[in-house]
Amino acid sequence: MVDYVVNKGKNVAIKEAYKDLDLFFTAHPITGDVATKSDSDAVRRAVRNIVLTNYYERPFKPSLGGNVRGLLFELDTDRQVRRARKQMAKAIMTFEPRVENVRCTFRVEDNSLDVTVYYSIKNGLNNQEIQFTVNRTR
Amino acid sequence: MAVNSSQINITDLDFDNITDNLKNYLKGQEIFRDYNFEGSSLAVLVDLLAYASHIGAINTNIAASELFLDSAQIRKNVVSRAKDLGFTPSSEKASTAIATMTLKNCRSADGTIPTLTDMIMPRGTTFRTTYEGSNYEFATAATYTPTSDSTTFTYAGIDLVQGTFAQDQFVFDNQISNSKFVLSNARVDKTRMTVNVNSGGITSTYSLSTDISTINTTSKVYYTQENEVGFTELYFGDGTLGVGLLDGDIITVEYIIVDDLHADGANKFTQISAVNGFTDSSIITTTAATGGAEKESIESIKFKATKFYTSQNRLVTLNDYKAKVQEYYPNADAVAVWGGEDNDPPQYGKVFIALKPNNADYLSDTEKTMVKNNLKKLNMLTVRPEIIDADIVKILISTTIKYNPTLTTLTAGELATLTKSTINQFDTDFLNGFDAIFRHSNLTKVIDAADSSILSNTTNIRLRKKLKPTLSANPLGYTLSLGNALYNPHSGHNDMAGGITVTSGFKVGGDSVNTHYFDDDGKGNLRRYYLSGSTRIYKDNAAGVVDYSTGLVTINAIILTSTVNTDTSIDFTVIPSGNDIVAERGNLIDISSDDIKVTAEVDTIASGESSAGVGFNTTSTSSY
Repeated sequence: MVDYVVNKGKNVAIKEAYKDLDLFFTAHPITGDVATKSDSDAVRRAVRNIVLTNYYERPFKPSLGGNVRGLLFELDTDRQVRRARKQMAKAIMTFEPRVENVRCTFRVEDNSLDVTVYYSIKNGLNNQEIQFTVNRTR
Repeated sequence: MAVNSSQINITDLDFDNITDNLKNYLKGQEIFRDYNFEGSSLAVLVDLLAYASHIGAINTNIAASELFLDSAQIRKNVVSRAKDLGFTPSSEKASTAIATMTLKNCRSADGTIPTLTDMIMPRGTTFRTTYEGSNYEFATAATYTPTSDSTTFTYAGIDLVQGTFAQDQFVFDNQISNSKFVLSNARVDKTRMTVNVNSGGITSTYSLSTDISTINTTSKVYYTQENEVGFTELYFGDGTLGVGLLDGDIITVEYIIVDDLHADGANKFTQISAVNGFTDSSIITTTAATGGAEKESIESIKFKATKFYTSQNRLVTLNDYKAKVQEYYPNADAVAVWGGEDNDPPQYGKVFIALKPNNADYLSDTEKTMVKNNLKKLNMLTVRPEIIDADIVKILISTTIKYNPTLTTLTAGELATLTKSTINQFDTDFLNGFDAIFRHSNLTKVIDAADSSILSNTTNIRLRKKLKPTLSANPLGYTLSLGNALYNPHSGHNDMAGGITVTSGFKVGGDSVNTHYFDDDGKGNLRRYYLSGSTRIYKDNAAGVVDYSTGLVTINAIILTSTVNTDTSIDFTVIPSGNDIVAERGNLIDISSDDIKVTAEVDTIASGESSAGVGFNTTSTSSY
C-alpha cells in the first residue's frame, strides 16, 4: 500500500522509498512469493523488530534491541519502568534512523506488559503508533 | 558500489566483513531496499546468514589446520597426527633414586630373627625426602629380598621412584569391538607400568610393544596411546599382532602416579612404611633422584615426530641418534653426537653420544646402560654407540662492580646478589648446550645492565675441569683437555708460585700421610708437591706436561690412592689465555654458580667522595 500525505488539501502519493521482507513469511495471495512490507509498514515492522529484540540476541551486536522480553523478569517499580522506557526509546533512535520524536509508554497489568511506541517517520507520515502486549509464558 | 552476484566476495572470514559483502551484493537489486537498517527484517536475515557463514568458515579453518602436524594446536590432534607417523609421545617420568637400606635390630616379638622371606620388601614401600623445603614421597619400584647379618638386613640397590603406586583392573569383553582400557589417572609413568592378564586362572605378564617387527601371534604385548583427554589407554593384540584376549580375562595394570613437582637432586631419604614391622633403618643414597620429566609437550611432539619418521626407527645419521636419544631420555638438557672418525683419537666403528641431564651434570651408570641398550637394538651391525659423560668445563667468575650509591636504594650486598643472579641467568640463556661459546664482553655488558647504578665491572675468569682418575695399585697415566689455550705470557711464568695451575688434593701410593697437589712451572712441566705449612715441597718436577697452546694436560703414570673430593675426582683450575671460552666436541661450558664471586664497591668519583681520580681503586684484570 502506498503512503499518502496531505499537501494543500490534496492527498499526494509518496514514492515507495522503503521495502522490506515480511518476517512472518506470509505468502502473496496471487503470486505465492514471500510478502513484502513497504514504506510506513516497513518502518513499523523495523521498530517492532528493534523493540522485541533482546540484548545479545543478534550475533556480534549485543546492545541492539529494546530488550522488552528481558524486562518481563525485572522488578515492578516505577523507577524500573521509567528506565526501561528511556532505554527503549534510545534503542529505537539509535538503530532506526528513519524515525524521530520517539516516545514509549508502558502499562504493567496482570503479568503482561502493554507497550505503545509513538514516532514520526522522517520525510513521511507523522504521529505513527505501534502497540503490542508481551506476556510471560513461564 | 553495487555488485553482481558473480562478484560477491566469499573469501572473508570475519562476521563484519561477511555482512558488508552481503549488503554490497544486495545493493545490486531493487526488490528489497531496507538491508541497511538494523531493525529491518532483511538485516535480521543478513546477520543470520553472516553468522552461519562465519561459524562455518571458522570451523573449516580449524578443521583444516588440525589435519596437519605443523598447524595443529589441540593436543589430541597433534598426538593423532604423530601417531600417523608411528610416533608415540613419551609420558610423564617419575624421578628415580637408587639407595641401599639397612634395617637394624630386627628381632621378632618371640626373640627369633625373622627369615629373609619374612623380610622381603614389597613393591610400593614408601620413603620420604625433604628437598628444597618440601616433602616428597618415594616408593620402591619392585620387590626386594635382603641379605642378612644376624639382626641386620641390607637391601642393596633399591630403586626409589617418586610418586604413588596405583592399580586399575579391567575385564575383557569380546562383545565390545576394538576395546581400549583407559587408566584412571592422568599422570602415569608408562615406563614403570606392569600389565598382568589373568586368563582362566593363569596370570601372564604382558610387555609394552615397541617394535612391530618382532611381534607374532603369540607375543604377549600391549599397546598404549594417549586418548583425546590426555589419559593413557591400553589395547591388546588381535591374534595376529600379539595374542588376543579372551572373554572374561582380567587385566591388572599397576603404575606410578607421577607427582606434579619432580624432586630431582634429592639424596636423603627416610623410611615411612615398615618392612615386616621394622623401621630402624639407615639409608645410603648411591644415586640421587634424577630423571623426572613432564609428558612431551606439543612443540616437542611436532619436532620429534618428523625426526622419528625420517629415521624410520633406525639409527644411521647423527640426527637419527639425536632424535632417538631424546626419546629414550626425555630429561636430556643437551645431546651431542659425533662419529668415531671425528673423535680424538679416532675410534672407527663407534658413535659417541655425550648427554647432559637437566638437573645434574652426569648420567648415572644405570641410565647410561639403559640408553645404550635401547640404542643397540636399532643401530647398524658394525656401529657401536658409546655414551660418555659430557666433559664439563666450569667457568669461575670473579667480578668487581663499581656503583653509584646515589642512583640506587640497594645496598652493596643486595647489588652483589643481583649481579650474581644476572650471571646465573646469562649461564641459562647462553651456555645451556653443546657448541656454546662464552663471550666475555657479552657477560660484562649484561652485568653493567643489571642495575642502572652499576657503572663498570672488572670480570676475571678461571677454568675448572674435573679429572676422574682410577684409584688402583697400578700406575696409570691421564690426560685432561680444557679445549682452550692457557695463559703463558713467557716461559717460566709464575714459576715460584705454581704457574697457572691449581688442583684439589689427592694421596699417592707410597705416601699415606701427605696430601699432594699439582702445579706447573710455566715451562710446560706439571709438578707434584705437598704443603709443609705454606711451603711447597716438590716431590716430582716432571709429573706431566702442560701444553699451553692447546690446553691439554698430560699426567704421567701415577698411583692415586684417594682424593680430597668425595666423588674421587681432582679439580684442575687454570687461567685461560683468552677471555672467550669455546666448547669443543662433547664439552659443555658452564658457569659454576657456587664459585661466582661478586664484590660491589662504591665508585668514589661518581658519588662525589673524591675528585680528579684521587682515591679511586682499580681492580687487577689478573686477580681472582
